[in-house]
Amino acid sequence: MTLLEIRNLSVRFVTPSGVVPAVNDVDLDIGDGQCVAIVGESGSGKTQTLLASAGLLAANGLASGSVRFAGAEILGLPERQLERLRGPGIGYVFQDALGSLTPHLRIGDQLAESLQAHREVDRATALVEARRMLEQVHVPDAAARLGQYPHELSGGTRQRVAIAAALMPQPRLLIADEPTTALDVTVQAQVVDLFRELRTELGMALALVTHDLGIVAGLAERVVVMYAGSIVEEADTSRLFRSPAHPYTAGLIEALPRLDDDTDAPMRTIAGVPPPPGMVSAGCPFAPRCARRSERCSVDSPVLAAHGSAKLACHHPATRGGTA
Amino acid sequence: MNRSRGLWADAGRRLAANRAAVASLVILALLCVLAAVGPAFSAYAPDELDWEMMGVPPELGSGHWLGTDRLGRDLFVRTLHGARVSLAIALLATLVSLLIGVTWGAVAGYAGGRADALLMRFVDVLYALPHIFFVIVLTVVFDRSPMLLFIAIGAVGWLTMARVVRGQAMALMQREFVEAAIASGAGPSRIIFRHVVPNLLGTVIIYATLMIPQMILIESFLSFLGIGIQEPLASLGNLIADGAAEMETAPWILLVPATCLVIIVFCFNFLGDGLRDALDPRER
Repeated sequence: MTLLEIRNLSVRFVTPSGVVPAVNDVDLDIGDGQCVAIVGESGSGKTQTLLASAGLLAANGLASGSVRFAGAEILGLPERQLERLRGPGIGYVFQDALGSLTPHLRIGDQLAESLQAHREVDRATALVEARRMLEQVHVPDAAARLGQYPHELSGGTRQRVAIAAALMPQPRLLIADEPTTALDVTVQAQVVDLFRELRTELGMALALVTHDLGIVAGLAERVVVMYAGSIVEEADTSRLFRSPAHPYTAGLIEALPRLDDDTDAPMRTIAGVPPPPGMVSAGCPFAPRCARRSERCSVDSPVLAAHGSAKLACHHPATRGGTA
Repeated sequence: MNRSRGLWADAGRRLAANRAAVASLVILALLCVLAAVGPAFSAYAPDELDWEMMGVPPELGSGHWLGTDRLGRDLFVRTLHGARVSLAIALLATLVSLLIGVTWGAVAGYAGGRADALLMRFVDVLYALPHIFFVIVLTVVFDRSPMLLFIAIGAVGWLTMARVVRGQAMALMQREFVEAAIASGAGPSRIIFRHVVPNLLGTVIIYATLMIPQMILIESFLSFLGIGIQEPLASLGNLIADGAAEMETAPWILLVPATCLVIIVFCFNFLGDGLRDALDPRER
C-alpha cells in the first residue's frame, strides 16, 4: 500500500525579488514500511519536497499539486488538522540535533511532551515510555539522561534523543532530513545501523534526505535523484549503484572516493554548478554540465519516463550494465 | 533520577556570587519584612496623633525614633507603612504589566504577519498617549482608590514589555527547536508557553526588576502631585510631599521617607543589574 503519494508537487517561494521555484512537478511514492532516499546537491529541492509533504513550508512557500498521506490529501489542510497528523502520522528528524531540542527542557520532559501532545497520558507513564524509547535508540544510561539538559549530551546522543522524540508518538512515516550530516563518521555509522534496526522493529516507512551515497546504499530500497528541483532518476538502490542511467547519477557515484584510489590523483567531481533556482532555461537543466549532451538537450527538456524497472529523465541514458 | 543543574540553578549561582546584588536582595527582603510586620510592633499607629510631640526631630529617647511630623504622627511607622503601600503597588503593577505584556508580545511574535502588525500598532497608539496624563484622567474619572492607581500604572507599563517580548519571540520562532516542536505536532499554545516563553523569561525577569523602581517612582510622583494615595493613608510619595512643605524648618520629615525611597530604588537597580549578569552572561 502506498503511504505517501506525491503527485505533480511544485513548491515556489515568494521573495522580494520575485517568485523562485524550488521544486518542479515531482511525483514520488513511499510504500508502507519502505525506505526511500532522496539525494542531490544542496538546493536541488529535496528538503522542500519533504517539508511540503509534512505541511511545514516556510510562510512564503507555496505548494501546488497533491500530497496524499494514507489516502488523505495534506496540501491545504488547516493547521489544526496538520498538528494531529504530525507526530503519529509523520515524524520529522532535523539535521541539527542540538537546535531541535528545546534548551531549557530536560530530556525526559521533552520526550514526554511529544507523547502527551497526542495521547492522554500522565507524566509518569510518558516518562516510562521516554526511558523505553531512549533504550530503543541505544542511549547509554537512559534513566540518568531523562534528568539532563540537551547541552550536557554529546552530538551523537543528541541526535539519538531527537530521533527518539520523533519516534515517541510512533509515526507511520519518519522523515529524516540529513540526520547524520552534523555527526562524525563513526557516529554516522551507528545512526545508520539504528535506522535500519528501527525499521525492522517498528515497521515504519522512512524518507531519508541525504547527499551521502554511503548512507543510501546501506539503508534505502529505492533512491530518488533530484537535480535543480526535478527528479532526474528513480531506481532500486542496487540497480542505481550498479548501472546509473542518468549522467548526473553516474557523476555522483563516480565522485565517491574509494579506498583503492590513487592518492595523488585529483578528486573526481562534476564540473560546473547547478543553475540557480528560477534561472532554468529551456532544455535539460543538467545539460551545461553534461558530457553526453547533444543539440537536443539544450532545446527539449526531457521528462521523467519509465526506463525498465526505473524512471529516468534523460535523452542519452548510459547503457552500461545493459538496462532498459 | 539524576537531576542535573538547570539553567536557573546556574543563574542562581552566578547571582549569589555578585555581592552588590546579594546585599540589595537582603536589604530589600528586610525592608519588605519590616514594612509588612513592623508597624504592628510599634507603639504607635500610622494615623495616631501624639499631641505632646508634634514635629519633634529623630531621637531614640522620645519613643519616636525617626521623629514625628507636624501633626505628631510617628515617622518610623508612617514610612514603613508608606513603603508597604508603595512596594505593594509597584509589585502588583509590575505583575499586571508582566502578564499582559508577555502574553501580548509572545502572541504577536508567534503569529507574525497581519496579527502581529495589528497587535503592535495598538501598542504604538497607546505609546503615543501621554502616560501621566492618561493616569490622571483615569483617577479623575474613577475614584481615587489605590487599586485603580496600580491598574492604571500597570496598564501603561506593559507596552514596553510587549515590545521586548515580541522581538525575542520572533527570534525564537526561527530557532530549530521550535520548528521541531511544530513538526512533532505541538499546537500554538504549547509552542508559545512551553517552547518560546520559558526561553525569554530571563530577559523578562531582568526587565521586570528594572521596572519595579520605575513603578515606585511613578506612584510616588502621582502621590506627590496629590492624585495618588490619599491621606490618612501613607505612601512614600505623599510622605515626601508632606516633607517638602516643611523642608526648611523640619528637614527630617522629608529626609526619612526620601532616604527610604532612594534605598529601595537603588537596591532594585543593583538587583536588576546582577540578574542581567546572571541570566545573560554573554552581555556582561
